[in-house]
Amino acid sequence: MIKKTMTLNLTSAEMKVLEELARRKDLTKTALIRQALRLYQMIEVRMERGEKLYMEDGLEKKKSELVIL
Amino acid sequence: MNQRILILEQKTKKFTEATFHEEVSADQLSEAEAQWKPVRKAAVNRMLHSGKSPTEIHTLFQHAHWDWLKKAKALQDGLLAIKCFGIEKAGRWQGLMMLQLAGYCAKLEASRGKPLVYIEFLETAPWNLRDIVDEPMYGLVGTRLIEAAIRLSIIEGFHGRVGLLALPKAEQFYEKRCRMVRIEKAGHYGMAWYELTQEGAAAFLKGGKHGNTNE
Repeated sequence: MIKKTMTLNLTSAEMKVLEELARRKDLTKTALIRQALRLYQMIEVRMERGEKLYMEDGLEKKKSELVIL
Repeated sequence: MNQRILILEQKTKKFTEATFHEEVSADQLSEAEAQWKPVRKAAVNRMLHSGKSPTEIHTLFQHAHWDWLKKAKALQDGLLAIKCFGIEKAGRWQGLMMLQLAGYCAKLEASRGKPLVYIEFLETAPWNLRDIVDEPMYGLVGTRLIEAAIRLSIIEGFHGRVGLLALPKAEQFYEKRCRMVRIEKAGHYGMAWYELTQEGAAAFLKGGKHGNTNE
């Protein structure tokens, strides 16, 4: 598959988070951003279809709807 | 892009070339379903006529109800996270596999929380299954699809990690042939969670003891 290259401008704080997440997930920074894009698209498509996204607190069994603008 | 691969012709026990499709379309899934559905239906009818109970039939043919037309919807959405691979030989689909590249993580302690390629569905054509037909046509189809999932996992930077929920009938294949590890507490819907580690993936690709030469 042909891939395209882009320059990504991030703040130091954003870069720090990207590096930390990449380390924790055992991914390269590129692979992490590709994962994030897949997840974002999946959520967007399902929300457009009228589905809702919830986060659940496993201990307190509290559910809260995540609203993505 | 399509590639030439080798599968096993059961009648002659010789390898034969097949086409591996790494981007199966919704139309192709419909085509496969049209090829497989009558064979599945005939197999179930044969089992009923031979006196097998619905429970026995379900035990032998646990995915008899699968319908790739319904699964085609996921491809029509154009989701980056969904991929579908297929193997074709002699104008007929010999196997299909639908994968998810996001939203699933490893559950084994050593790699917990790290992404993996999740195999949502894997099916070999009904005429290749020993429990369905007396003389299966092709072997190694499931093995080649698992191999493709591992290679994709490596390309995506997931180090070969693969996970799936297995139908009970398929557990032996995933455990013995694919070197996948069963995790009891991670199953759902009466199915066990199986996971392939980075090391297991490397061993599978090398074709070790339980590698990719038999099915």
